[in-house]
Amino acid sequence: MTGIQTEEKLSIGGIKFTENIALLSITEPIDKADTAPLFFRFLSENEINIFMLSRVMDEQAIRTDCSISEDDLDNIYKLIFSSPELKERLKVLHGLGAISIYPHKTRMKLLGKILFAFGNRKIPVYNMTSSISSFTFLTDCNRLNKAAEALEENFRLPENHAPFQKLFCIKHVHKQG
Amino acid sequence: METVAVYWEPTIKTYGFNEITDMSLVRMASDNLEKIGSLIDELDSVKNQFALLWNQNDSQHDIKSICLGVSGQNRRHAVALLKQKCLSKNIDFIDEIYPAGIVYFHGPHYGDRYGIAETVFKTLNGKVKIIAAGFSGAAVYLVFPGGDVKTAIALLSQTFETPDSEH
Repeated sequence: MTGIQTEEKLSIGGIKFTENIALLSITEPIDKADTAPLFFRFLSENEINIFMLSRVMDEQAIRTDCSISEDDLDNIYKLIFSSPELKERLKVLHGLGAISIYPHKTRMKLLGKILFAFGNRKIPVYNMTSSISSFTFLTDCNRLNKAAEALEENFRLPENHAPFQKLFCIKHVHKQG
Repeated sequence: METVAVYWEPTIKTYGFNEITDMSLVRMASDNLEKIGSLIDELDSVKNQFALLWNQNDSQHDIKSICLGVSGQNRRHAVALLKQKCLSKNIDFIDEIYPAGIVYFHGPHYGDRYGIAETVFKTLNGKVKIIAAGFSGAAVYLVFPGGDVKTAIALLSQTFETPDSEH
């Protein structure tokens, strides 16, 4: 029985966690969409890397969801308190983590089954994007292991899979002089 | 032991700009991932591919809608089936933007450096209509009305260094 279930599972190459992420969301009217560009400039000037970003326009508004490391939140709060417009338009959600699944090979079936697995296990998803080879989903940091369990129930992972957590990260360091 | 790596260059390099044209961008309103997932799973019967995925949230950070880019030779069939499945699963099909196109690119250490988003939006804002954008890891995806893809690539090529640039 277990063997048949294993054969029915789609195979994926791997899962990766990225922890301690904050989601910053800006909603602005289409005719006055000047907040997000200013915000991007602030991030750049303060050497803050964007982990994940989605920006979608509809009839009334442009919604920008931007994920950064929680280590950079102090700078963000300083910015929010200095700008009444940002205070009104920028919402912050912290304590999040990302789970990336690769490779997707543009398979509809894989995408459908991932969404189903998360929905079925009531894993909250705050943001999702696809890239050239992977899907990334933002959830609560303390639910990352549950999300991985939901995937392991439905997909076949390589036997020698690396740990899901990142073992190191690369960070830009500003050089003095 | 701590290892620190530094990567930076003033003119941002890319490995070149890629495009997908003849794409439909569809939006479905639902916060029920189980239902949406089952719908997308069933689209597999058309043997078509998705070009991109992302979501729109409401002000409380809950999912309001799912956006899916559908391209490939069975695009029309896939979108028709998707509309039909939305009806049968009681999912609100919001709209289809067609023709839409994607410009996507990546470059050295995009996932580890800052300044990409600012440069992209400063280059394109006010010159072409960006319907949607998605940055994840080392990749940048930008969605335009179909006819604007070439214009966007021409603008981005003036700012970003591509393998063909003469410097």
